[in-house]
Amino acid sequence: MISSWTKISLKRVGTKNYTEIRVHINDMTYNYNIQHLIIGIVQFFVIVLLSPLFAGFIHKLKQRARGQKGINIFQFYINFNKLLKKEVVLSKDATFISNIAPYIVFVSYLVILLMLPAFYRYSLLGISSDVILIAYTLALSTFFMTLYAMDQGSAFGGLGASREWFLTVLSEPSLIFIFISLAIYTKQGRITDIFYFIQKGASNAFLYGVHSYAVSIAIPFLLFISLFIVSISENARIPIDNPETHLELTMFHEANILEASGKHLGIYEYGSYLKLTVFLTVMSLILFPYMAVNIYQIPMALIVYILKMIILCILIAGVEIVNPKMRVFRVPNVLSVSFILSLIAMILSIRGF
Amino acid sequence: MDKIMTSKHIIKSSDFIKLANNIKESGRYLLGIVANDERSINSKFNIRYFFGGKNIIDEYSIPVDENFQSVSKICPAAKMYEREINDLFGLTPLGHPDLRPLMLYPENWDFSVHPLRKDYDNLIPEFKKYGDYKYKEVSGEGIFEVLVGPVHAGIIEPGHFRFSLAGEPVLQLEIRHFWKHKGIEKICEGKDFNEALNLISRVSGDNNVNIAVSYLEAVENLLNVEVSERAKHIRVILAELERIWNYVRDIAWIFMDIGFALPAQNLFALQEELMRLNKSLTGHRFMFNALVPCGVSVDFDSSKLFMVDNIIKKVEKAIKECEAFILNSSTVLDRLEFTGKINKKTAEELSLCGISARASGLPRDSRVEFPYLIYEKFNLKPVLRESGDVFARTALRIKEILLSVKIVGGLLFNLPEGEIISLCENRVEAYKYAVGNAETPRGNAFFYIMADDGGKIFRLKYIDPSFRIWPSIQYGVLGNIIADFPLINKSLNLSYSGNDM
Repeated sequence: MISSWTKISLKRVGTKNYTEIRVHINDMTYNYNIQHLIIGIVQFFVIVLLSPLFAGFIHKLKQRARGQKGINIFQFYINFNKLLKKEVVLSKDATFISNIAPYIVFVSYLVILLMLPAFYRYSLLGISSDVILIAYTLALSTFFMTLYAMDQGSAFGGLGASREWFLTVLSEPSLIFIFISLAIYTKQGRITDIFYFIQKGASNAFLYGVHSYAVSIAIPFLLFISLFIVSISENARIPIDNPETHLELTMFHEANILEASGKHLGIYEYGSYLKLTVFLTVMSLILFPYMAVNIYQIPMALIVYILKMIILCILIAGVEIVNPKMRVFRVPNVLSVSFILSLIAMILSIRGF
Repeated sequence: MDKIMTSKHIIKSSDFIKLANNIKESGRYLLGIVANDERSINSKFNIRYFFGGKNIIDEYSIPVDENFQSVSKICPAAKMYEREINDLFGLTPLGHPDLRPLMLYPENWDFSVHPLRKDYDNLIPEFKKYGDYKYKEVSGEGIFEVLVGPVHAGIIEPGHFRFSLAGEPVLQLEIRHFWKHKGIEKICEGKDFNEALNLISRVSGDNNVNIAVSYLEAVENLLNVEVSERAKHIRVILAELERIWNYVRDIAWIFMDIGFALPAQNLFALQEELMRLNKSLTGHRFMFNALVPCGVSVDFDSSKLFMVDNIIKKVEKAIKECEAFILNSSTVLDRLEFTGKINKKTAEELSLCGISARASGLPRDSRVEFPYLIYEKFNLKPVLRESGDVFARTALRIKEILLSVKIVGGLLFNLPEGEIISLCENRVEAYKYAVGNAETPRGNAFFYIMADDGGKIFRLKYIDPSFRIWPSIQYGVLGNIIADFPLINKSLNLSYSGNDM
């Protein structure tokens, strides 16, 4: 049946120097560019492989600021490698959920990273990178992580799961509002198009002096702060949560994976680096959207991307160093600030500032 | 010891209940209850209640055959001591509200065997299940339990904490301790005073100097020797240095538990410097074996004195900065204030001591109440806070570090000349006993030592401040959420090992 719907044809386009894949689904025809395909895959692997480095860099920065010698910046790769070799110990109350949940969590982050145009405009899944899909793929991963926590039957798992949802439920409206105000503001639905629109508008305005309504300072500024707060909360960072603590009773995120061991733990940890990278990348795009549109711009775009990520890592580490962890029930206050900011940004984008 | 009046009363168990009310109203508080198997002397057990007040220790001695009247309902602090006596001596406190075994776990110990009786044959009962331990139950819709321990994350000792929760707020906390009862009191019987000092120094290593001071107060009182002035001064300097490094570490850990590693790491660096000072002064980072019966084993020369002087000046500066930092940081204050409040009434009823009592407004400081060594000449006043929360305990530690720095600074260059060890070859009178008090960084350490007819220890009872203070956490967490428990626990910083002798 499928073969009758889908017909893939390779075609060399006359004067242009690239090959297109033409995909026919039912009556629609999509043109895929081989160059986009290859660079999209490269982009995906680059950000997936770099993500433990960003997490390690933040950790190292924090430790250096406290006067400690600090970990090897590649330590998280070493840990992942070590954990993969270790056996998984599951509680005897565990069901099949425990066996599939780590992979679902990990794959959901991978799917989001496939959509993000970190430094190349045509990401692999750019065609279906709907902002609402991104927000709820994140929620899906949280859902399975908390199922895993409760599935093992430990008291901390239930406590952690309830706290994780407490945070997620509070930060979800902000996240949705951030994405929707970006969509309204640029009149685009896909995350690749949204940031390309902003990038084009900005370059027109700065390079050629053409006034574009895509050049707004207020909206990206508000969205950046709002997303920064959400990132801190979603990535279990101080002042919301403490990623370094060993105290089970104070944990949010860590309490969910307290029972995980071996390969499962490794996948969860890698998943948390990927999640951090997802948020940092979206923040970097709001901060300064610069994506390559052809192969010649790639080196520059990659350098700009890594520079932006370093700046954001320093920012996150800075917040973590100068703040203590706040009381659990103060968290809604902070997240409501984020919500209000995203709400203002949405109103502004409807008005078209 | 002459300055502290010790009044001894021998009364009947049934009369003691009426008396207990009077004692409570007079403002004295329970220092400890010591049971003793004196059947070989006067064919009875003896239970001694020690009540303390300003410059006075009241002792009520009650000869007992099998059971005695419990005073727990009048004096709740007696609850734990009476459960302990029930376990280790098999003497039943009549009318006790909660007679579950405390140290002898029914899961693997035959309750008819009472190890502190003199006729105990030193055999451990067959390892099998003898009964069950019933935990308190809280029931209702949506109420669940979180069990923490006895094995914890991190390198800490065993303790079982059972929280009953409705969401995040704690409805009840039940603590079960005594997982690794070492039987130090039994081991000490028949040992001489030197051997016992090595044992008791190690029950709670971070407070070992102050515990040894308390022990030696009792021993030297028994031997009837006066330590030389120089030795007294050196003991005070070492004891205060121990207090300083303990409090620096405590404050650092409070910062760690609110997830604020930056100031914590600075204080850890300071603690490390203080411990290296300990090592260069006494040869050991914890200052083990610095104190010996009738004197001290380390002498100070001028280079050591300058070393101490340098470091305490540094500590003073760092701690003043730390104080200003806490007071100016709204985020830190938000975590500390109103967390883990122990009411003054609770503190009074549980006869708390040390930081925990002073943070709740009770002026209890053994250095002031029962002045030992040379503490009398400083005219100390207990540093007090009224609020009873984590902030009060943190602020008190800061103030006490500054106080200790002042004490050490005043002594350093006024050390009297003389020998550091006095002669002590006196024989102890048979079955004479003495008590010792000292203020450790956690609170009052109380010793009761009775000698036998050969000059060895017949009965040694040590009451660690942790033993008195542990139950208070169960009240301190009420009204707080479970996520704040580690912080409350750390602000009291109690010893598991000292608690579980």
